[in-house]
Amino acid sequence: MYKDAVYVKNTMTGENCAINCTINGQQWSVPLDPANSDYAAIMKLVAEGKLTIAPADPVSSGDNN
Amino acid sequence: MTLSVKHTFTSPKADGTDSTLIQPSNWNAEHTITAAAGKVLGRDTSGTGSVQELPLAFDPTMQSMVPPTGTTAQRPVTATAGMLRYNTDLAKVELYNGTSWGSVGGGAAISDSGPANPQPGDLWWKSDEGQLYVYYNDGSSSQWVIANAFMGGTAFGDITVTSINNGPLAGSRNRIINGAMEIDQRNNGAAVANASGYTVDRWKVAYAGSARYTAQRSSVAPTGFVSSLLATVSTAASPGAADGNIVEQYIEGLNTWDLAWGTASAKTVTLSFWVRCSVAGTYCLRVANGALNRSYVTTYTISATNTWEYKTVTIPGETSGTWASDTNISMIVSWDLGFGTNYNAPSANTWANGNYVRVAGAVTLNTNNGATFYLTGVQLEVGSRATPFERRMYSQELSLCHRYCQAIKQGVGAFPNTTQAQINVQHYIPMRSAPAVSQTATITVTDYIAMDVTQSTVGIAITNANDIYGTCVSLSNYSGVVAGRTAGIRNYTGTGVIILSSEL
Repeated sequence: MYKDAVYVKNTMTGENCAINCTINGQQWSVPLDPANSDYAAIMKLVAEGKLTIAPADPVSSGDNN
Repeated sequence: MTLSVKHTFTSPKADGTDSTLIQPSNWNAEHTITAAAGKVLGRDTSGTGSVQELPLAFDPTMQSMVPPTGTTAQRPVTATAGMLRYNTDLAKVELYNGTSWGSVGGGAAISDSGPANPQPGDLWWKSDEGQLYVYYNDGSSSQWVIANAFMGGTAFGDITVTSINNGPLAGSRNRIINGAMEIDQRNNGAAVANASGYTVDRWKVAYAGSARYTAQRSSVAPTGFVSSLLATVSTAASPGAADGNIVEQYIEGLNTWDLAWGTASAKTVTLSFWVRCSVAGTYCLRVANGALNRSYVTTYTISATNTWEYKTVTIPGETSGTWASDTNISMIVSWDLGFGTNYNAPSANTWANGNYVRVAGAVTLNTNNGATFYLTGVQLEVGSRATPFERRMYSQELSLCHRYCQAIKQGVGAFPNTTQAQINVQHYIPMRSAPAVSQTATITVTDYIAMDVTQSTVGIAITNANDIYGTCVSLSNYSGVVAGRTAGIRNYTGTGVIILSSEL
């Protein structure tokens, strides 16, 4: 159960570095690492059209919760 | 060679006409047995005086003796202890011990398969296993049993062995991590309602459909253990065809590649565990590959309710399918807590293409509200025999868990603004992958000068470096902090911890 996915920017580079997401009711921040099983699950849901990832706040530094 | 012969006649007998034979008149003389006539002849003692061949012969060179010879069917109808003969069926000399016939001498047969027509007491060295077997009759059946196993005896001096059950001699036999359910970094024994995900370390409880379980580490355990995983049905429901509830562990390929699954050299494994359940009956477990397209479902029986029972199942090595040998899932070991018909295997105890968890007719535990299922002492090892649970030191087990999950209570960083703390966390050990991060509750940080401050609500994100060695997290929802000061987690007032997860 993944929902409320939103990208998080790296505070130094300004590039996306993680996805904040609610997983089974708990807030998680998931790295953009294909080896991470949560990231793989999120991208599978995105590919299936079952989840969308909102863009990061331009001034976000992770305060997406 | 000379032979002295004494007659046993009780009345005089006349000499016969064949002068080449021993005559009554010269019984007491010495007689020569020639090589050409290597058989010993005697006279029937029943009184007829007919000449009979004694059941003993010598080869023409007089260098060996031939005992009475015949097939198994030709054994004496009335045997007496001490009788000795050569059995042409068995190609062995055999002796009657007053009860049964047994082979005499000859050593052990050496072959990959057992010799034909074995007799109780026969030995066989099974070449491909390197095991010595003895043919044993337990009174109701006969079978080959391992003769060189240590059966509780004491060995004096050094022992040289190449493997135990075709696996490692000691250490790292068990491919299951946290099989004794001791480590519970995420919840520390607290119950997890509607469990869907990891509970005690490395153990996943999941559902699809309406039925729910509450899961937690329990102190109810069999003798020799202190913990178990407890799953309690909190919402009972009959599973739809695609529904189900499950307890399982994913095993990383780096920990199973030596099993050679997916090749012709695949090794047999044995799974052993302690289980206690409030509903008796036939249950299922399965082993599957990471792609969930190869499954082996087998059954076990809960004989008595609410009673710890020790179970073992042996699973033949899988020669087909893809089994990861890297950091991905190679193997999934799952206990069925109630699944729909989509997951019924065609049959038990055979490898099948597909994602199967059970067989038809097994107990559907999730239809029993309040039903309990305890599991501990789980061990998966090479070989066809279960050995005692491999107990690792607590710190070793915890370290094994840390590859997949770490509960962090310390870290140092800085306040980049008045509401956030960026904390750099060095992982205890390198993790399987860059971890996802979460927190169990609000976290208190300090500036090491004048202030400790606690989040108003949880808020965490990866905002900087994150790899298998370390993670920089941003904790938000603070107030009144001074930007630019050092920030650190000391966690002496807050209750929350940072959870890093790189589970499979």
